[in-house]
This record gives sequence, structure tokens and C-alpha cells, in this order.
Amino acid sequence: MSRKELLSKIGLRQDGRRAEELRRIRCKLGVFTQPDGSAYLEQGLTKVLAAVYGPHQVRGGRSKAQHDAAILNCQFSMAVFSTGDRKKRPRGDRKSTEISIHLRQALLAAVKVELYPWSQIDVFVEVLHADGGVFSACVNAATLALIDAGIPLKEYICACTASLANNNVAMVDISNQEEIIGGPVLTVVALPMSAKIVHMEMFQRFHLDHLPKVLNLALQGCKDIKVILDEAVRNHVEDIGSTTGWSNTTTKQ
Amino acid sequence: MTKPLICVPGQRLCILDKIHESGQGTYERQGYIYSSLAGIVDVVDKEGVKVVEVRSTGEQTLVPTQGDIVTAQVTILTQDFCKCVIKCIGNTVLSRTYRGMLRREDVCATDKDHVQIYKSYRPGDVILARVVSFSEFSFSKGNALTINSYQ
Repeated sequence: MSRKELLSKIGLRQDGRRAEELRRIRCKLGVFTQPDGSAYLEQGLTKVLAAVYGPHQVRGGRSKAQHDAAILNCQFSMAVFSTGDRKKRPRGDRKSTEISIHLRQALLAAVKVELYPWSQIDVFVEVLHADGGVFSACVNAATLALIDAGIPLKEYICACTASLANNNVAMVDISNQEEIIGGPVLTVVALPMSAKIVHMEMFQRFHLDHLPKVLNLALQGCKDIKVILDEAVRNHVEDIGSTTGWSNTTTKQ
Repeated sequence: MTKPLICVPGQRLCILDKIHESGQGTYERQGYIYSSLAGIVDVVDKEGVKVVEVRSTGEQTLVPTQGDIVTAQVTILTQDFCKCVIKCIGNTVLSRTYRGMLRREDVCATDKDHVQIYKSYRPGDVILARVVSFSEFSFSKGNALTINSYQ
């Protein structure tokens, strides 16, 4: 098997996965006590931490406050040690700013911001180890953190990447190595239950004829990820609930 | 005790009809009630209508809304208003405080022109107040039925 081959003759990828197989996803909710909600997500070797603060009163420029919805403030940063060559700055560069904006757009599709006028919700995402699919891992981690914070969502927001190998076979969940070898990468953020696409992004290009099958595989990936997140959330709710005897529920008079 | 029903955001709970109504932590879409929180399902019977609610398990952040009774502590006094920090909403103690502003004209229901802030409040006073409006600046607050000041 040559180093340059994305998919071998027997249908296995560089890391031994099949074309439609996801990397292992491990996640945990409530990893910090300081923020209102937090989550840790590991997708293959990509490791991401997310923290959510809020909803709280708008800080800084009060002119930003909206009378009909909360402001969603997202910040994406990559630890300086997360990539192969050490990064100079963890945030503020063009790529990080772009990802922050995309993350905000993706989350706004499902967060019910209209319930919290004059307030602000902060989402902080930190990449500890970047090994491909950084943006999709961030979206998934942010979803878990928002759920942990008890912020109303219409549904899960899931993201997945897909690519095309040997110019005809679609592959899901692209690793860093596969990104480097080449081939286009399609990132899809979707609401898996209502099957809506929220955000779609592509690097490099392939023939339009291939788009449906790559897109379908990415959407299937989103659905598979949703099942994994769902299980993590249910386990978390059960853990918290059973330790407090289902009594620690907040209701407003 | 039976095991409570756990639900996750986006989960379809039941059909929306005359008997079932969507309550806190849920939303309506295409004739069904969906959950918007991760928590346990609770059905409250209210005058023959079943209100479907979802209660979050963890600590949920509350935001004061118009009409809420809040407990606040006075911090700064001026001629026209006093500033305070909101510590409780209803019976719930907040983990993070909110800033509020009590204006002179909201202190008393009658004789509004002769109110003098410094005669009513001192810094450090704990007061009970009702949120009258949300403004761009802060939560303005009027006095509730009673203003309990003590130090």
C-alpha cells in the first residue's frame, strides 16, 4: 500500500477504517465547575474543550444588546501545542476568526435565543489536539456544552466531514493525514432530526456529479454522531439526576 | 418511585391538541410538542389542560423578567436613582448577580415628586422589589408591596 493512497484496493483507509466509518468519538459533559456548561469531545485524535457561560447580562458595550434575542458570542482558539508546528498565537488570526463566525452562525440555527432578550451567551471552544475535522469537532463539543448549560435548543447541531477518494468513493470523517494527502474536504453542519443543512463548506473541488453521494455520506455521518451525543447526554442526565434524587430541578415561580 | 422519563433537545414528546399544551422547556413545531432541554418530562394538570414541561437536572440560569419579585442589595446612591445588585429571583438564589437600577419615580406609588432616595435607602440595604421594565441600561425596578430594608 503506497503512502499516497487514500483508499486501498480492499477498501481500507490509511488508519484502517472503511470508507463510511467514523473515528472513535468519546465525550463527557460537565468537565468544569466554573462555567454554566462545559464538554470535552475526542474525535479520533482531535481533542476539543468547550465552555458555555450564560445567559447573563451583556458585558462591555451595552449598545450590542438586542431587545428581542440574546447575543451569541463564540470564540474559537487553538492551543499553541495543538498542531505539528507550534502556533504563534492561539486566537485572533484570520482562520480562528473565520471559524468563530461560522460556529456562531451554525449554533444560531438551533439555539432559542429569542427566550433571553437583553442577555448574552458566551461559547468558548479550545482545540487541544488538531487531527483533522477541527471545525466539526468544535460544533459537536459546543452542542454538548450548550445542553449541559441548560440552554434551550431546537435540536442537536451535528457536524461531519466527508471527502472523495480515488475520484469515485466517498469517505466520511477525514483525518489530518488524509487532508494532507489531498482530496477535497466537505464540512457539513446539520440538524439531524429535521434533516436540515445549516452550514456547508468545501476545500478544493470535485466534479458536481460526486456531490450528492459525498453530501449524503456527510449527512449520514451527522446522524451517526447524533446517536453518540444522544447517548452521552442521556447518561449524563441520568448520572446527575440519580445522585440528586431527581430533586435538583430549577423552576421559576 | 418510578424512573423519570429522560428527554433530550429535539425529542418529540407528544401531539399538540386541546388537552396537551407546551410548557417550560418545550416548543411547538408542526402540531407536535418537542423538548428543548435535556432533563425529565413533567406533566402538570392545569384546569383540565395537561401542560407538558421539561425540567433540567442541573442548575439552570435564570434571567429576571418583567413582573418578577427580586431580592437586591443597594450599592450606589445618587439624586435620581440607586444602583443595586440582584441576588435572588423569587425563591431562587442566583449563582451570578445582575445589575439593577431603581429610579426615584419608582420608589413610591404616591407622592412621587417628594421622594428623596437617600432618605429611603442606604448602601448595603437589602430590598425586595419588582422588575418593572427591561431597558438598554439595566433592569429598572419598582418597589414591591413592601420594601424591607435592614442592615
